[in-house]
Amino acid sequence: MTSTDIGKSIDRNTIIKAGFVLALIIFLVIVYKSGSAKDIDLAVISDRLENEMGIEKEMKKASDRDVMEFFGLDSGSFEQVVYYRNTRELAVEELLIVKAASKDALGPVSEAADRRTKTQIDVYKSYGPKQVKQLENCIKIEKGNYYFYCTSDNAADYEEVFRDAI
Amino acid sequence: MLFSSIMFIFYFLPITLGVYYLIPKSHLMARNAWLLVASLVFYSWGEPVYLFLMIFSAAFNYYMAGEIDREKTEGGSGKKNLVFALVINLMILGFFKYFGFLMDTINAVTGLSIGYTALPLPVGISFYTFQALSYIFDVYRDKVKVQKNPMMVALYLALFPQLIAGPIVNYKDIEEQLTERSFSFDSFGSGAIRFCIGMGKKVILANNLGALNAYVAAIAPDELTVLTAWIGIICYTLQIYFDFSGYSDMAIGLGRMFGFRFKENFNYPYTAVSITDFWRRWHISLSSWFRDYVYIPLGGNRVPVRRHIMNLLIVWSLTGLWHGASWNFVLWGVYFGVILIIEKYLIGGYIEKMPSWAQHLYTMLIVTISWVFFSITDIGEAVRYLGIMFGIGSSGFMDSSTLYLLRTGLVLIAMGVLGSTKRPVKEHERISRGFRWHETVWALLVLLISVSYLVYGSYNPFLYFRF
Repeated sequence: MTSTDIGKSIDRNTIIKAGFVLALIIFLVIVYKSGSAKDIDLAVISDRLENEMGIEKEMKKASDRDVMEFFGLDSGSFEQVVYYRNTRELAVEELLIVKAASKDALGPVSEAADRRTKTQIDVYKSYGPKQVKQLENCIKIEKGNYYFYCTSDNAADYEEVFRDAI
Repeated sequence: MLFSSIMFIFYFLPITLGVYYLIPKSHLMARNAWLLVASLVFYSWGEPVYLFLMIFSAAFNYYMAGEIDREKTEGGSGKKNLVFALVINLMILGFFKYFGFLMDTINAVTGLSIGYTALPLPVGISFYTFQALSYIFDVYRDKVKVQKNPMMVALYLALFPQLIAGPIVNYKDIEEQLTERSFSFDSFGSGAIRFCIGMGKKVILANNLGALNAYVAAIAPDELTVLTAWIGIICYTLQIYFDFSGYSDMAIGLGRMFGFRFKENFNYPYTAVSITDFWRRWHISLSSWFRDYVYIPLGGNRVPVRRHIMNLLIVWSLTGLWHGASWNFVLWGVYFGVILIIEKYLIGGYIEKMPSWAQHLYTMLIVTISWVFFSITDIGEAVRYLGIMFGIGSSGFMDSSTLYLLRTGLVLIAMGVLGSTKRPVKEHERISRGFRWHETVWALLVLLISVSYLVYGSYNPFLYFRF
């Protein structure tokens, strides 16, 4: 190899390495900015919860009106909302998933979920130790532009479905 | 996609095996190409976004190994290219795994509240990054020839049996098998049986032990009794062993079904007679990796005592950190590092002279305590749990929860304890001498029960997926 060949080779190799670094940086920036939560229709999660997890044995799908009544949230303010709750007397099981347009819009959802659990605990603390325990062990997750809240003995299983989906 | 899922067992695996063996064995490259495609499909099933990362890692490490080799051929040392490859690989791992940990630590130390987005960890990144580094290091050290075929490098990194949770396969252990593999019905059969047994360990034992542990974990600390706390951590001790060794069995069994022979990753670690012995039996591929690529380059034990102690602490801190981006894992690693140092320099001789029951008791006590810091990420809560185990802050010795756990879980725990010894294997060998088909019948029974659990049960990821 002549010195010119070596020079050309060095330049080409440097360019290739720079190319790798650039491709990696672009990918990492894209992934970071997107928050890396997949853009997924909540109907897919709902479907999995119902068909794979049998959530309807425990909770029934609730309406936007219920979301307003129990959380004080206007479903129209978000891209999608899915809400299940156990309608039996003295039952506290419920699951709320909210998909917002952006992460910043989840603040009110988080506050609403905190208020909800606090209110429920206040209601049950003098006569419902099992309910209080369930409420204290509730799962609240904020990921990308999604919010997940669940009070249930099966909350961890539902959480897995949610995390797997997004 | 999980190995222990209906999708994998009844769709992905039969199709992959079917096409693989339809390709004539004289066309190994075509078989490898199919295996690569199947592996990439497997990986992207749950995480299509990170498929780019897998392909990037394969392309980058293929190129850099070539660069190191080129530079050495031209009379250079290859060191600059090695360092560059190391930095980029660790940068990828660091970005996804340790960025959040770093930011939390900075915020905690400085009192700032710098916001950041915590990204989910690409599944298997710790495993395939370490495999890529082993290839790069071995090329640099002339232990292996550089691979000229990029598809072989991609296959080495992405091979689905060991892609997501190990064992970490060093390139030098698989180099020849990529281009030359033999097939026999015996080998295929033993791989299938190994896969079934591994699935049984995971689905039947680990998942059920995990359910008992979850029951204990849900009890508020101020309602936890001493015995309940011990039952909880014993269940976790057994769960993590069957979960991880079960997965390794499945990975090794699957590899064998495709003609690959991976090294063993577990050797009955709960029969160890000291912590030194334990780490020769637990997650062997990881401890070997750290020994070959960190401990020995640092000088190993061929250095003065102070430097040797420092080497051990560095290696074990990194081992802890590899397991998780959280201080409890670092503490867990340092805990073992300190105990290994104490065994090496202070009490090793005494342990050797102890009766074997005392050696086992000592080892299992140390190991079980370690799992408290492994399973509970908040160090304060872990210390509290440990205290409860020894009567500090507990709500008594036992209560109705304890009785419930003993009534419902004692048989399972006993099965777990027995299953973690060599006893079942010895019994199996004795029965097989009189009944040739015993192993096959047993594996089919385990498969049937496992599939029943999968059909009936819910989501069941592997604990080590989070690494």
